[in-house]
Amino acid sequence: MRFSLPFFGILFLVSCQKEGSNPANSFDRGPMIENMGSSVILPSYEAALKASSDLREAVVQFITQSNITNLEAVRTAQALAYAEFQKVSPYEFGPAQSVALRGSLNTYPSDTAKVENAIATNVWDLEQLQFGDARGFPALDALLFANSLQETFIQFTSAPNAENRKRFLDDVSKHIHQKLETVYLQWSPGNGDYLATFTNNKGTDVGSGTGMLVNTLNQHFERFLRDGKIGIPVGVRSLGIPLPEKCEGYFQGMSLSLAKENMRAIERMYNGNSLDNFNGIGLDNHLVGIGAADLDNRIKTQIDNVFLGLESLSDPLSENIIGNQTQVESVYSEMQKLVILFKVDMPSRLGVLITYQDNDGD
Amino acid sequence: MRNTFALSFSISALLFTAACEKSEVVSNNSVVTPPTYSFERNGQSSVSYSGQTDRINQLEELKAVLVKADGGESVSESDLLAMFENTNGDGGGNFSFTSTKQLKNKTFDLDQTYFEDILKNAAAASVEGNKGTQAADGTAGLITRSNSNTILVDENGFEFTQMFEKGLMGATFYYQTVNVYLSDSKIGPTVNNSVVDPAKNFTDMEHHWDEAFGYFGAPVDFDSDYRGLESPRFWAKYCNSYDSKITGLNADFMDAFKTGRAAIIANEHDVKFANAADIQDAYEVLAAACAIHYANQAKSSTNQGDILHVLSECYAFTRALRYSNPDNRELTPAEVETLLTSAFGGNLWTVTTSQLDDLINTLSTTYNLESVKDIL
Repeated sequence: MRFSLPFFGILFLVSCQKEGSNPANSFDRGPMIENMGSSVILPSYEAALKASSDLREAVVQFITQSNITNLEAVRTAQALAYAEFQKVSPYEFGPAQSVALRGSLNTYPSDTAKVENAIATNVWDLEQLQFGDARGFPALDALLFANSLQETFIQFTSAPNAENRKRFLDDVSKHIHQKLETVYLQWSPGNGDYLATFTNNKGTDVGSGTGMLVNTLNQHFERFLRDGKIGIPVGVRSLGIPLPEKCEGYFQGMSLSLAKENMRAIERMYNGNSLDNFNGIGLDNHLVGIGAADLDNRIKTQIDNVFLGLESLSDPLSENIIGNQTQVESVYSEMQKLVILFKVDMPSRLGVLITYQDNDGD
Repeated sequence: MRNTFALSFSISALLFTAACEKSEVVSNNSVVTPPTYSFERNGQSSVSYSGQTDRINQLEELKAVLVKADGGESVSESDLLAMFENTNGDGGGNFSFTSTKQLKNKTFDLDQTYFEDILKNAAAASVEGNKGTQAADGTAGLITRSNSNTILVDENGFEFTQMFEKGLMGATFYYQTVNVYLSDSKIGPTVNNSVVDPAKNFTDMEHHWDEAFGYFGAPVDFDSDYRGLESPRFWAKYCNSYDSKITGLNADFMDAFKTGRAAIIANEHDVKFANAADIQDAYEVLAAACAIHYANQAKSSTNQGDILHVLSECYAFTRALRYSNPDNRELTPAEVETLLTSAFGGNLWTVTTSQLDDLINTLSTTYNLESVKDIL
């Protein structure tokens, strides 16, 4: 009987991983996820929604009064809305996951043949998955920026199918606005109040606010920022053969500024700072609070290194990729170092399980 | 010493159950759940499910032929059908092994034609694929996935390989387990559980339970957080991939299989039936989890080949729910059919995000998976 007591204890811990055994629980996560939800995520959605409303208005204005000034205004509004969208694209959980926001609004490069075919046949349904690469900001990138302003104006006004093209532009901008509005309303305390769901779940398990934050931060940073915006275009998945046409916002030539905006969102997701950079409680404070200030320092240093790398490049990124591939690759390497800190070191200290996986091989 | 050890083992087992709130494990003094699915009589194993292993191997080899068609080869209808019904014990010369077992006669009777049609249509489409016909809405043919491999789909975008493979996981493995082997006809009061054929070393009831286990595709030492050498297959493979998300899913299956088998040996039939019901419940949850997983994948996929691939899997796993046991199921076949129609509308090319979202919500509510639906 003497050995049986400790034996119980071991079984208990191994089989259940009770929360009491986890040092990460000494930190009160309540204020952190409250801050993230109220001061970071919700205002980010608000900003993205506002910019998409402006885009909607500009499109309606252009359709009502089709002149070149109004077309130029659409271009400007699209670029702003695309940049604002970068603030929310990492938060692909809850309401955003429900409508598949990131994939719906930003699958790139756009299939221009599909877009042109839809316009030529006057048949499309942007809700269908098969239009995933023929809608959202990338479709607008192609529609508005693939040709010169003057040529684009002709396409929308006097070229064959000009009316279809206008209607397509109208639908794409409507679709963008509608999706962002749905997600924003789902988060809003006055409506779906997902904010409460998010902030009330204070644990570290898979469905908790912290669990989702850490998982989506990692998934987005690794797959959609590091790979999508930098790695794939520079050729890390193609034997080093550069694929500049895979750049985000390729035609409008603003890939790098979009990547920087997105990286700032990742930084906010980590440090909990507000859009106007007011210091808030974030994962950084969580790490410090459980005695992992060293890791926090290493992460912050590495975030700085990534920004330094991005600053060393210039738009259009697609030209950098051809002219200065090594430099772009080195930014990818800096991002990779951050992936390790975010994905391996941070979750193990926080007691969060990384649950997302890459697509099945079968 | 012996008593002390047994006592400490049973107490710790009890603590384990109480602390973790696993699915209801009916504890009974005379039924001890062994650490692995291993049972002996007279020093020899009393476990046998080689027929199920044969069928699992047959499905794997049949799938390999369908995968050739995915790659653009033309495949023969007669070969595929011969493999389905295991002609001449070697699938008409197409299996690498011989066996007296076959997949077709263990497939749900009313659906045997459905699966034969998939094979026939796959063979016909493979001729088109071989010519390089590209799939489109309304046209069967090949479509390229993001991994650069092609898949062969029918005119509505359904991938033959997935429809057949995942389809048979439902219509054969799942159907046989929850409706045949875990039913009264195989483990009920009229089934022999006292006479042991010396040549076989098991009772009929023991063997039937083993056959149910065999269709699961799990190694005997399968458990939560499984790190064994042998790979789980088919249902057990999927189960294993959700084990950390649906906490203890592997153990839910294995505890029930092991405890139920031990209960048969101990003649504790209430315990046996309770565990049979647990297995039926766990299978429904697993099939629903697979469907939710692929619906999530479809929502986030950006390549049309990937979309059709994962939607085909999503469809087949949702459809598998029609084979749930009528005495212990959440959805009837008619309800499953309604779900399929509203989610897929018979054409995978036109599926929308909100259709999939509705499917995810219905399944997660029905099978109590709401807390994990986003991460499956």
